[in-house]
Amino acid sequence: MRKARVRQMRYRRTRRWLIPAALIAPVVLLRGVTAVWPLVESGRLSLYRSGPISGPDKYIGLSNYTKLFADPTFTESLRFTLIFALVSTCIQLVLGIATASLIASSRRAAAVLRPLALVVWAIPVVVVGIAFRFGIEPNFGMIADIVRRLTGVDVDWLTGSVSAQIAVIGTNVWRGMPFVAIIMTAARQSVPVEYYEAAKVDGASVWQTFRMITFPAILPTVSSVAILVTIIQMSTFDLILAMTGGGPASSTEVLGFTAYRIGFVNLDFGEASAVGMVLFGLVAAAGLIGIVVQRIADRKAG
Amino acid sequence: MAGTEEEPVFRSSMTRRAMLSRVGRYTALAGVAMATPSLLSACSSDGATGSTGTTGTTGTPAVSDTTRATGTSGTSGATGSTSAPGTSSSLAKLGGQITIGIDTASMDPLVKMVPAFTEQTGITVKFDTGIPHRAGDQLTALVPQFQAGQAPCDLLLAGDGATPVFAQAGWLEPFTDAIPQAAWDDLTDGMTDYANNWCKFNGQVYRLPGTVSPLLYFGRQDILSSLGVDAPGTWDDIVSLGDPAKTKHNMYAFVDAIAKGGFAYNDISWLSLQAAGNVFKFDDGTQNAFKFLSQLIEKDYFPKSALAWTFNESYAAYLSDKSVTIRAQTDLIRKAQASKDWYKDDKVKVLLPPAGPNGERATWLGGYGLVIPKASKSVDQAKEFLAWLSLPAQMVATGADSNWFSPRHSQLEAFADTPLGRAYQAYTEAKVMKSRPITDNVSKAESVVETVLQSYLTGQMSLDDAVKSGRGQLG
Repeated sequence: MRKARVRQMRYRRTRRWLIPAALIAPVVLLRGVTAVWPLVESGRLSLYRSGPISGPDKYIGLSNYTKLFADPTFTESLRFTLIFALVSTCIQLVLGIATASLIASSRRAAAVLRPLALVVWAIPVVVVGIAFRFGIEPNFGMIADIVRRLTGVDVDWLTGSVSAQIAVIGTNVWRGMPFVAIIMTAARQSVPVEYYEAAKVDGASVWQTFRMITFPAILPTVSSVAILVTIIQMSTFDLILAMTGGGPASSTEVLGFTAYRIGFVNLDFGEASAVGMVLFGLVAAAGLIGIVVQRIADRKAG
Repeated sequence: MAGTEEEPVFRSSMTRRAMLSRVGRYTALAGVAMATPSLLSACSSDGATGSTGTTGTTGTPAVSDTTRATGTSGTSGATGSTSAPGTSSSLAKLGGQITIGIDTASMDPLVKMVPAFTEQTGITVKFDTGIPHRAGDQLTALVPQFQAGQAPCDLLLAGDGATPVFAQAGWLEPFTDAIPQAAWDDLTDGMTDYANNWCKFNGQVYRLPGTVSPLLYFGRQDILSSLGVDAPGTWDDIVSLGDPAKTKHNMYAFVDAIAKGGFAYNDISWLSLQAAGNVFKFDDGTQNAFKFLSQLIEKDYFPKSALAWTFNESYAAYLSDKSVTIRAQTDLIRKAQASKDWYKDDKVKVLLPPAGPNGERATWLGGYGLVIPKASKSVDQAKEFLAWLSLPAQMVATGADSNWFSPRHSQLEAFADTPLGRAYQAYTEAKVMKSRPITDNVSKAESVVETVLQSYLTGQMSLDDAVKSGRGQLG
């Protein structure tokens, strides 16, 4: 009798996880085939000399990695990828939080900014890249013309290495900020109204209210969004391809574009895979940092 | 007892057998749901959508062009009342079907002609305009497919940058014996030079020259006349033109597109050829070309913003009176003629290309041609089509007012009275049309040349460093 009861207990415990596991198994399998296997295969290929015109694949160990890190173009690309991701994220967060605060504080602002943010966010990245490339061209561009008329300043953004980097980051911020603003708006609106009423009664200024009520309340969301957006931006490729092609020279290349160039232009699949693995490492590191930061934040809140 | 730690709150009377049976049923249902789309597409009887079965990135054939919908079959959409002149009587009645991967502009002349081909051979011709046209995009889209032993079409209009790679990788079918000698005899010297370098590899023919044209040098004859100068014949003439053009007309002496993505390479290889250089060796001629371009930019005789220009911007600059001369493709004539208010013959005058130091007047031929992917399932039919199309009579028929007009003897004779015909004739008589140099992994080599050139022109590298870097990367 006792044995039968124990068996029944075990059976019920097994059933609790078996049915859900069986139902999600197809999706896990699909994800494994489409994401995990390519990752493993890329890792394997990064240890080989491989390409359509380089003869049979040959195992070369870590040579692709040592070649990459000895190549100034790659190290520059790595440096710009980090700058691009971090600077874009910081500016997007600041502007996104500011926009969210505006939306939350004014109905008129909300009526204008919210649909505008959605429209901007919905524009495909390639379209944004091409539009800005034409727009900031000093001879024909509308944006360049407006800036010239208003400020008298004439800048050829895409012909200098630093100015092209600034232009690319600026375009990325313009395109990505609405996403951050929308999420921050939701976070801002979850802060209880009573806190703001109490602050008003206490005579707190706008900045004090933001610093002591709003920001601490939305901080968990800010940290999650910061990590998510940083990771997304590290993998940027389409904006660079559409706007500058990595130029002038290779000053606006990011790792995603470098992997594409090495793989599909230089036709060196091994080296391209190595770039991909470096990028994966960066993204994984960013994700781990995010998890640690989240845990620290949760512990402090708890 | 319910709610205790030993027993869960929810209680079911399901037996183990019944539970496993239910799990199995759910899993089977999920599997069928996932497999249904694949089953339906596999059972589809429409061959035109069968190309979705490929794993490549080309996807389904584009159907945005409504005229293409009627062009997919060789027996529909065309008038069908005339036969293509001069067809070879040696064509075999093979039957079957071929698909040609081609851009819309190049497809249109062929659509009118294929009914005659189908009538003679029984081979139906379909067109697929969904395959990328630019050589760089062809590499990106087709390398994975070819590597997997698949091909989206039986004939592909392949660009210069992609063909050598495909041929070297063993992904193309040679068809040396399929092309009649009359087709090769029809080529002018420049075209023969081009075909030998860019269409034949290891003694075998892999590509039939199709939409091939020389880079043309255009000038504003009206402005040159107002300045009292002749058309620039040398680089020094272009430099001399700079100051008066800027002072009197606020125009650049010369514009060109030198953005990354093939444009910068096209320009510097054109200039390098004029200085008797080989752009892939970064030799003296090439270095002179680098210095010439830098000099023009420094003096503001050439726009620095051209570093980010494609042909859209360079043509716009020329057509908006910003430059006296321009290097352009043949389509500039058509675009200029479309600006009816602006266009006059002397505003778009084709000039002979200038000569560089220690060099000669030179321009290079480039473009697209038809290749047969090795993975094609209709190789014989594809060869038959190429044998038919290569004949002078067919080339004349396709070349009428289209980008198939190349410097061939038959076409030059047939279109002698057109602006392009006159330009080609002048270039042929002056013997300025050459083949640009080719190298191993030409795709990578072009990218290295562009990066090094832009590094030099933006001041990121000195000339010596640029040459060193270029030679180091290209071995």
